[in-house]
Amino acid sequence: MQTSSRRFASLLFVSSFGRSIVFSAFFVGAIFFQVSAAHAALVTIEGTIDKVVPAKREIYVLADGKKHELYFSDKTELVKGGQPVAFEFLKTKGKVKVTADKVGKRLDPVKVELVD
Amino acid sequence: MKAQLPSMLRDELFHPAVAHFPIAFLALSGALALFWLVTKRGLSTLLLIALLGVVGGWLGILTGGWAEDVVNRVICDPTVTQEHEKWAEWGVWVSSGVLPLLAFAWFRRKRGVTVAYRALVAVSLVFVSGSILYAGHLGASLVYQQGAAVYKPSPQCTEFED
Repeated sequence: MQTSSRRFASLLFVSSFGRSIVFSAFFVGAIFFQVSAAHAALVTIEGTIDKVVPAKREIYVLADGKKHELYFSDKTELVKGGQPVAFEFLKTKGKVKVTADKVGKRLDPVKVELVD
Repeated sequence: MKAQLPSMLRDELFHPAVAHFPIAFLALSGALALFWLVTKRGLSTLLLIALLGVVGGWLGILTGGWAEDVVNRVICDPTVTQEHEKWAEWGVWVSSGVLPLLAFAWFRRKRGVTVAYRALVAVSLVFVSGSILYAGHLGASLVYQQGAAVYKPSPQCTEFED
């Protein structure tokens, strides 16, 4: 038993074939971890618009008993029925589904969908 | 490439230029109101300080709105800004409500006002002092813990070279 495990270890860490398998596994694992970490910050909020501030391109969304303050950036996608729409389409009491990047306690909206 | 120093006339920098005045005036108003409650003296000074505090307070709220737009897009915890705004507004609204009471007492200064009247003003202004000082503390937290509206120099500080 001990001999077979030693053989397996030497196959993995001593032979060039084994080392290449170990490094490949490590590399793939590292990429997988990074991809997971990049998406871990995305959150989804479904709620009702409490206030729209067009001058600041800002909306307040009530969801789960909290008021979320969301500032639109140039990269924020605003859609209705899959089609892009202008900021003026956002109205108080409108229902929205927001996908946002959570940075600390700040939410940067990536995609805002009007749900009606 | 040499970095450029940003202007000191940015929207978000008018707030710190203004806000320290009402913090000082409104924080002092609580102590002056207690002094007036106990001694019946210092009403004119109290009225002037409260007036300056209220005017400065509303200017602080105006400029705070300009700063909020810039700051909340970059700081890590915008809920601190909301708390900061909430306590500042409490202080400015209550002091604005107390101001007519002080003006009335000043016009009646020869006949005087009751101790209950002075106590009401004093309690209100002590609350104002507390709320404004707490708002100031949260403002300091925004700047010194989150770097709100603070420009970070380039690693080599090239923008400061001639």
